[in-house]
Amino acid sequence: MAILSISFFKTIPINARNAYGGSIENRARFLLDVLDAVISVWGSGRVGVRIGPSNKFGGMGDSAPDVTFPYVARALARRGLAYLHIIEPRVTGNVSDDGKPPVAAGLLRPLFGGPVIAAGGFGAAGAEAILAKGEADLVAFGRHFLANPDLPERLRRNLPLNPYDRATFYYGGDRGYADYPAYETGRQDELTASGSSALSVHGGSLL
Amino acid sequence: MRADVPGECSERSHGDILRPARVPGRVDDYGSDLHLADRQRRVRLAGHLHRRTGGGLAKSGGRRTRARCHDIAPALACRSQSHVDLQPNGHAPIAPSAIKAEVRALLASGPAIGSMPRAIELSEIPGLVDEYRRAAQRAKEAGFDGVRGARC
Repeated sequence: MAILSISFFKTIPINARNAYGGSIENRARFLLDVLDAVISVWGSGRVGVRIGPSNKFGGMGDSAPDVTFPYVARALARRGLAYLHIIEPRVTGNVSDDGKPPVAAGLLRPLFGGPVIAAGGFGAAGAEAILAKGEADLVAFGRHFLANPDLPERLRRNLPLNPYDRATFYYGGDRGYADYPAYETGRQDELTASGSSALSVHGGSLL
Repeated sequence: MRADVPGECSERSHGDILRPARVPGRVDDYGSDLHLADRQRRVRLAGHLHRRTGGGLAKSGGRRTRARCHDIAPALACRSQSHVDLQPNGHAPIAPSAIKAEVRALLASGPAIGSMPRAIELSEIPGLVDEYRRAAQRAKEAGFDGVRGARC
């Protein structure tokens, strides 16, 4: 899966000076223009989109994500994309409050109508819960995947996770990327493994 | 990219896909030390994950999904959140508006405060959209399974 980053249509950094600024329709235009260009190469079934409605990283942000993103989800629905990957508002760039419940996937999934990947602050229980509620089709893990090279196995067996060190994110080098240990198999008998057969794990973007 | 064995990410195959990824025209971040270092790290990371997960990053419904993945065009993400040292001819990075992003750029010498961008002109947008189309074309030629637009 190749990833093309499209960071353009947030409210804050865009002047209302042309067809790509101001209104929701205008601010969504660049994303849709780019997607249509990419779809012309791949066909829509091979193109997915990842959105972070409440992302504020880098000083960017949308002033009305509860209006902008339903519009975007409907526009994407008409294109029949492979999937829509949604970052929950409890994660805003490099700040997160994983104690908050997920809301975005449940709001946007009916509007999009296709497969939805929920992301942001999920552990095994939260992932199972959103799948059971039918608000997402898949769940993505990022931070936990960085800290747990054997994450799928840990989730499957309900093993404890290594804590991640955010200070090592995005800074190059191996530290924080290649030095977290896998779970010691000798400890498995101490823990109660629980089935999590419905859990889907998506590697997603690591960077 | 075609991994040597279906369902596996090998270091070599990631290196092969990452090396030719280059965004033409004004965006040439791939020629920079940043992306050289970044590519090398991604290759190492991919190899690490390959080894630690037995080649599969993901399983879904008991069926191992292929883990051919990874980025081809972070250069575009670097446009508004970049540094003049990473831009062709030391030009300012472009952005929707001339507002400095609150980010650090990773230079060969280490993290640095991002540079003040210039606002893109309306007339430049069709060319920018076409850069995405060409990047998507390269991803296809390189053998990826699909493309994800990340509107971060």
